Amino acid sequence: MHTSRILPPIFVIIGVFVLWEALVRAMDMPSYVLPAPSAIAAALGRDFSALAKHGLVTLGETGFGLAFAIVGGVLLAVLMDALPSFRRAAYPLLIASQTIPIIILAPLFIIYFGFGLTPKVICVALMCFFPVAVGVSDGMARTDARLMNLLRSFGAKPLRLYVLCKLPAAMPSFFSSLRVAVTYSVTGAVVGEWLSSDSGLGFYMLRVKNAYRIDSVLACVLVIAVLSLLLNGLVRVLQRICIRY
Amino acid sequence: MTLEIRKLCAGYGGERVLENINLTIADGEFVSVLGKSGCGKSTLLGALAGTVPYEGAVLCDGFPLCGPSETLIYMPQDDLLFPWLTVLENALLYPAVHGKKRENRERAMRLLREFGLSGYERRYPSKLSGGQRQRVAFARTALSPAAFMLLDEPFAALDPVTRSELRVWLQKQRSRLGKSAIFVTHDIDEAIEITDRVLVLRGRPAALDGEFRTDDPKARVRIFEYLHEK
Repeated sequence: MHTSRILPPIFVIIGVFVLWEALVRAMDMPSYVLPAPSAIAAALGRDFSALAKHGLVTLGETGFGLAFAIVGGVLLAVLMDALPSFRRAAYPLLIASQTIPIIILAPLFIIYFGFGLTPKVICVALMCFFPVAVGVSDGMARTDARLMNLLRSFGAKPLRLYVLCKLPAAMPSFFSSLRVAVTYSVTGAVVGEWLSSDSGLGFYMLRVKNAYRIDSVLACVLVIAVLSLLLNGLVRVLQRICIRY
Repeated sequence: MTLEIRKLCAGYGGERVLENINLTIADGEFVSVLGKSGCGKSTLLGALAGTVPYEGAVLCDGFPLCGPSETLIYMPQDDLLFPWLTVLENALLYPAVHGKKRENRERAMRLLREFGLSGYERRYPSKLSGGQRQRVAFARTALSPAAFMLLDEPFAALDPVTRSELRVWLQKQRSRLGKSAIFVTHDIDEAIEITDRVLVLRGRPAALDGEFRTDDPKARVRIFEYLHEK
């Protein structure tokens, strides 16, 4: 990445932190209301081992949820592409499913699936499934019809049309949607952990919030943001590996 | 193998574009179909490739063909290389469609070498020139078992210099391709240079009503006069 692209956001972040630090000090703000960035950095160092331990749990839930979302999203997109009547029936339901906030559904998952890993994985999968399904479906719909006709003139059967043409053509859309999905994914896991958990960043965040350790809460928020950014970067790397043309 | 087209009629949405087309192509023969833009040249190839419905009969060695077959392979105007496939994978597209990619790999490598594409096997189409892309498309066509190529103005999208280079190249490669061809074009020089016979398609609905041997030294003049006579 060029430094001209990296430097502007770094300067903005540094500027915001400097301003924040100055305001907190000037107004003598108590740390249980708004801690200074230096206090958050200190909390990050102090709580590092706990954050790392809970972060790994959240990351595991995120990974499982994302895997289910990708498999389910791609399968649904292929079904919608292959069966237009199914698309007409399923698409409105897919949109409607996204209008229900996950925080409302999550308690139901806890009732149905208990307090373990499953409800958190379902939270992540539900949040990430939609962008993947819609992205892949739109990508396949935009496949160059001339390439499809060429394959048909070669005698290609439907499965070959998907393997050789439609799915590769949808790869750029898939990765764009996956970048959106991974950004949601950590939030999905944390929401699941808020409602019932004995580990994970959501659980840790609730615990430190109840102790009025706002610096530790914000350190946790920082870790969540960094995890999301790292996952986003990972998708970019995967995209570069998979799409070389 | 001999290809026979008998009383072929074809069109779109009730409008007849081709009427009573009769044509026989011998083993290894290159025949061009010449006509003005929009006269139905591509429709003829579409009917033979099985993408345009038609009436009449298409026979290979006396046996009727219907729809996409292993006897005929269509090569469109644009190279239509798959951008996500390498040169080698594009060349192997027909075997890949039929699950025979591995056993054709060596043949594809050899053919790409013969077509002047050695060292380009792992490159993507976006890194090739127009002429190179068209040669990959020819390699893809050559790697099908089809005995007859349906070439739909394969040089139309190229600049004049590359176009004349590829005309010379195709002449040289005819024996390597080992196939017969129906070559659709609206360029008289191209038709004479590449093929053995020139057939003129004209009228509405269009019919094949003129035939010229390209070994005739006056073929160019005769075709030109024929195309422009009333």
